[in-house]
Amino acid sequence: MELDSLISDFVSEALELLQKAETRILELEEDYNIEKLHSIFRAFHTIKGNSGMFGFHVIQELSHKSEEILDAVRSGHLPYSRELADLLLKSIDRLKQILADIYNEKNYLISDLIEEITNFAQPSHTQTSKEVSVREEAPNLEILYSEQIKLALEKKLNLYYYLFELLEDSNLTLDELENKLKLVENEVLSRGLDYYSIPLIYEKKISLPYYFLILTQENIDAFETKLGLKAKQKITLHLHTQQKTEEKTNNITTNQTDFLRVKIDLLDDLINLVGETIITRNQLLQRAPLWNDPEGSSILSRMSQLITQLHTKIMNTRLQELSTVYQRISRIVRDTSKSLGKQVELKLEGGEVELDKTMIDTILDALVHLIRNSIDHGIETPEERKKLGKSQEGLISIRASLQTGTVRIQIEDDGRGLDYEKIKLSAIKRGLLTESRAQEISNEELTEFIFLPGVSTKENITETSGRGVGMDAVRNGLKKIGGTIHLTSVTGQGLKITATIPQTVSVISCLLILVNGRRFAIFQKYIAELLQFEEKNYSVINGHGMYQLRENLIPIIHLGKLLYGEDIQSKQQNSYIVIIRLDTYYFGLLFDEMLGTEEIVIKPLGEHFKGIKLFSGATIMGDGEAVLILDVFGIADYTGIHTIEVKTSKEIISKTKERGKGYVLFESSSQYFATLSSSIVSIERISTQSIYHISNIEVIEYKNDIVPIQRLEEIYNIEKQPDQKEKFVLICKIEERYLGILIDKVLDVIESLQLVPSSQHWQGEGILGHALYDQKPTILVDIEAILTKVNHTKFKWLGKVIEETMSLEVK
Amino acid sequence: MAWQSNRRNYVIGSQVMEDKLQLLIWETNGQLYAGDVKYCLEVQNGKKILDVPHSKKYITGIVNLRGDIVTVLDLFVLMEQKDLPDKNKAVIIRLKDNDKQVAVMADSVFEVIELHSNMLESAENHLSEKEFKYIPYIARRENHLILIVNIPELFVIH
Repeated sequence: MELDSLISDFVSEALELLQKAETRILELEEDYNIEKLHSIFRAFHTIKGNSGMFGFHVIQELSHKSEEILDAVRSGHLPYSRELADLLLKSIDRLKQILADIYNEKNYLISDLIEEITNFAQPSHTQTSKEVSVREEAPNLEILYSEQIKLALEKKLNLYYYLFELLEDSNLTLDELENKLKLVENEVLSRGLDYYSIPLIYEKKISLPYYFLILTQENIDAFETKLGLKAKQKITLHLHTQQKTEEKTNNITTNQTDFLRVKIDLLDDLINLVGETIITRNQLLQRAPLWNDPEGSSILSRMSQLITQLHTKIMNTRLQELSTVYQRISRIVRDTSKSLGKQVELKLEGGEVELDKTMIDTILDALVHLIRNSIDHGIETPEERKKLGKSQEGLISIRASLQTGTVRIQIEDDGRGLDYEKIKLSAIKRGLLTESRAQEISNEELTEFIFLPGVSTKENITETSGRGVGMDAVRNGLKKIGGTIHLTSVTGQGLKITATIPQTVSVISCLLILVNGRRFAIFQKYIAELLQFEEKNYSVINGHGMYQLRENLIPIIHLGKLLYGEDIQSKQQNSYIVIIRLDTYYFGLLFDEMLGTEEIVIKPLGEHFKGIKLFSGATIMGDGEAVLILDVFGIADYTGIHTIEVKTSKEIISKTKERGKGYVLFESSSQYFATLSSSIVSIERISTQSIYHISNIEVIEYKNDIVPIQRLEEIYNIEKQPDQKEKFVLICKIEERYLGILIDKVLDVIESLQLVPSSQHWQGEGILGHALYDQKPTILVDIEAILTKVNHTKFKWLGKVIEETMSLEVK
Repeated sequence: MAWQSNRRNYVIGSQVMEDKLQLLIWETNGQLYAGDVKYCLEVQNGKKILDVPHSKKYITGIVNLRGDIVTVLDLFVLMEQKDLPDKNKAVIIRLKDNDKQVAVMADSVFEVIELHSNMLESAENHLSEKEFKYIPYIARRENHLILIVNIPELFVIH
């Protein structure tokens, strides 16, 4: 058992070293740097040593061979070239393969690779190589320019060897090149023809390699950007930041003792245990009101907050940086562009953004597919690009950012973009679109067809893509983790893909509903609106149930019929509709009763339910019973609802974008008020017994947080009327805090409000105007402004107390 | 030797059974069933099973067992028996094989007994093909007929 554990550690460490080596190899192609070369050498050297200890001689031999060839580069006997990089990457791939099957290591053959590496290292090989390389037969630049490197060290500047191929790269004259260099602060220490890179007589190249040895404080990428040029090759001979990087590396090495390697299984167990603790907590919270013990309830409330914090911390242990995905993507871009004869520059941003490990695995699959598609379908060949006036090298950029618990990843290329005509033809051919509808459909609506199985704009299926199954799988993969994907494109200019993914998934906020006596849960993030069903607004058009919502017709799915085959006619009165918002379309779900919102722990359904699209999992309620979670994407797919009235959905979107101008009307102590619906995060129904007092501040519990609430009567000196048993709270988010306005009841939600001239009596803080609703004077208030003010005054000290108390409790 | 020529390999699933078997006995609709105790994780009473719309007929539903969502199977539907017993059973028997889990229902659970494998008789001639797939053997004990359930077959997804 102990040996198994040691072997497992060896494999894990070796894979990590190989991954880092792979990243360095790809980086070296862009920016040759001796330190990176050393780190690759060290990786193979360590693997060689460790594998020898365990008797893994196949791994040892291959690592040794790779180490040998790297040593030849280090000592200047061999230039670093693309072929060498290919060979090293092959070696890495083979080692990874063997490590994945470590107990059968002896059975793996490596003689082919050994022979290839041996042949590559032969002097005859480098002499007959036809590919022009900067270092071919060239002296070692570090030795040649050792004086200049010393100068750079003294002056604390960077030293770059910058090589252009005049006529090939930029069509510049030497004068123009000289003028460009003047744009950036630098000192040219040496310049001239790179004799070792001059093409041989039998080569067809007509360009001449011209180098500059530049001393500058600029970082090489910034230097190049400012210059507005692209070099054939750039070699970093000295980096002033190198020493700082080394110090940083030393610090990181020191700090590595602060990190601990933990098995993922252990983390999974911890997460499961915390999940169970949350369920048990929910059970206690349900029973707490029956105890009639304020002190006990207060203790439970504190415990509840601690459990939420514990859950957050545990979930954070599983977070990994996106840079781990980026490393793999760099390799894929290199290999795919090479196999397709394309030139692609990859720009990556946001590698520091963190995602749950399970998300990372799904994201990687999706990104790999999207990148391959981009290179295959999108980026043109260098010749095509030149004819179009584009740079020969295509650009793919990936940007990641984190916004309030959601990770947004944008992939953009400057290729040919979507061919909408081809999409139309493909959709018509597959019977997804009629000829007449194709005449009026917009480009935005057409992009939706890309996600349907079988739709492809590629005439031939290649190894890379073209089968028309990829985008469908990408979207489904993202959906399963609660993500979405959206495309925009301009034909001829490129394609932008935006994917959003929740940072972690395990505990989510849900709406609980009743259908045919059974409870179901719906993810709150997909809920746009909740309404009471009104018969007069319902009609059946072309066999589909449709609901008139303001000026729009929304397709409705009767959940009782969908799940239990209920008769549509029965039970419609006193029903409710939840409007679901998915990507670019909306639909409604008709159900019997609304039970409230709850934070639930998602549990997977077993393999027996794999084919059922309607449910994304299950959860366990506070009473110990299982409840199914509805998969709104699955329901939309199953019912084909997204193909219904796409035009109507588009109208809904445009109307809904104006929803920020809608108003919520409510009553407090017989006074009518109105406020912008966009200010409100949620409206909570509460019992007055659930209002606590901390000093003179009223608070409630919301999402396991203590939320202070404000009465408008106090702000506007309205005579307070006795509280009813049930009240409502309008929850807003102010400066990262939840705050609430306590009201008696919600009267209506309307789209527009007719303002009337205001009376002097009702001027005051946060009052935006006056209106009439149902013939009653109604005050239009800005609750965000009101709550912002009290957050800085009345609630300020409370916020600090809560923060300090919680941080003390955590310690 | 005589006893050796009579020695048979009793196979359930792909596993050859031991000579001595420890079996959990339960009763459904007056009939006794038994399963190898090594697959039996626990027995729970009074649990509510939630039916899952659109699921296969042999799936009764799902149930919460110590925080896990476990699929409950209807053995009688699997055996394509015509007379299906009432689905409201008091007892749930949770079965596990490595990382796979399912549950079956019973009216009551009795005990764990030890049976020698030479007390088992092939059920092939007594049951239909479908039934035989799940009940490969029968045993007699104290004038009771016990149907031995092939538990590994229950973990197979159809």
